[in-house]
Amino acid sequence: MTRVMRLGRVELNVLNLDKSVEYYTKVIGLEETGRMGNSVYLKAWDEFDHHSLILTKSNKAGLVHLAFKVETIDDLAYYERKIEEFGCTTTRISSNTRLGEGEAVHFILPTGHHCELYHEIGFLGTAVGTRNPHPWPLGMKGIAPHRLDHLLLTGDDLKTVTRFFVEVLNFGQSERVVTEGEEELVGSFLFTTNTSHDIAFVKGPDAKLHHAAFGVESLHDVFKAADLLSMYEVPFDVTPTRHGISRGQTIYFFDPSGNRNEAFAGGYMAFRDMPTITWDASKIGTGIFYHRRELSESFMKALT
Amino acid sequence: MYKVTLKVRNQQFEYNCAPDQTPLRAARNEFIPFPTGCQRGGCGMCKMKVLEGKYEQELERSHEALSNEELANGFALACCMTVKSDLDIISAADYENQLIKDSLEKAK
Repeated sequence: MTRVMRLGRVELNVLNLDKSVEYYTKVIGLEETGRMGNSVYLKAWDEFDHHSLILTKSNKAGLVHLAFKVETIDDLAYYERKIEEFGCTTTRISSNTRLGEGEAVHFILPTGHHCELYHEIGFLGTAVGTRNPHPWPLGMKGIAPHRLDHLLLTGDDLKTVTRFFVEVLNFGQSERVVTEGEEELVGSFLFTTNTSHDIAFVKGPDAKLHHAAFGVESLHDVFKAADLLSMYEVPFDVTPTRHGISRGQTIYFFDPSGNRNEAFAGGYMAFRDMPTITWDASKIGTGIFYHRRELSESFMKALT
Repeated sequence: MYKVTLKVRNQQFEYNCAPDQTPLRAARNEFIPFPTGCQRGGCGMCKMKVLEGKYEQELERSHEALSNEELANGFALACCMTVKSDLDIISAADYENQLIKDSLEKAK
């Protein structure tokens, strides 16, 4: 069975490359793995591919592209055909356009975000290796997440983008938020791994980033992340709480360019045959912030 | 200490702002509902039109949040500016509404 393995990489626009690299290495605790042109490449300690985050200097913030890793090189041609059949235009991005990357298939999502599929990428290994490994490496810095976890994007037509992920990329839909009478889909949570979401969409302007989330192990790590963020005077959006949707534990904050980050822990395991969970839009406050039970203006409106 | 007059959400507020504070931070400290987002010059939620007064805008910011043209026309991001005199500001959203209202009045 052909499948998309995971959200493999995210490229973010940043206003100041030095400040951003300092933040993502010292505060988030990622490792710099290379530089090319105006971009810096990073990975988390538990990831084994060359990079999962690319920071690219720009005069604006936001998402440049997101990319999913497919299981075999032949999957590229398979998905290329399916994407074209759906009605999206694909182009091939040649090897080594970016550092450490093989060929990729590029297309634009129905929500206007630039997306790629790839299989080939350089291998660096995790910080603990694969032979009698320790559970975590000595000398970790900052929040030190295990991995890039998921993205939340905004867009106008969530029904079509959901159909794209389910029909074309074979994702499951773990949760959805609907208005009265199920007339409109205003939130859609999609997975290809066994996590509650690998990518999610909420109703909003097209082509915008809501947040990029990094996966930490436990609520304790979320709380420690919050301590670190205060020590480094990083602006918070939301202090530690629980999500109703996904049941995860969370904290939201902003990178030096205003891109929202999340440290995310827990959440249930998703399975392909699980029934989709539905939230009524009138209960969205509880769905997003289970304790506070109401949304905040900054969470809804601050986008990059 | 400078005096800031702020029009936002169809309301008017007056508050004090120290020279080393942003007008956004000073307002929040007074529990004034200043539209707040990333506080990093990235999202543009705190965009203001400066009607009167001296200020210094941090130039490293998202040009999507505050373009060069807006900068030249007296718009600013309240999360990354410093106040250099008493200041009269109005949120970009309220300013736009006011312009629409004014032009409707004129058309009468």
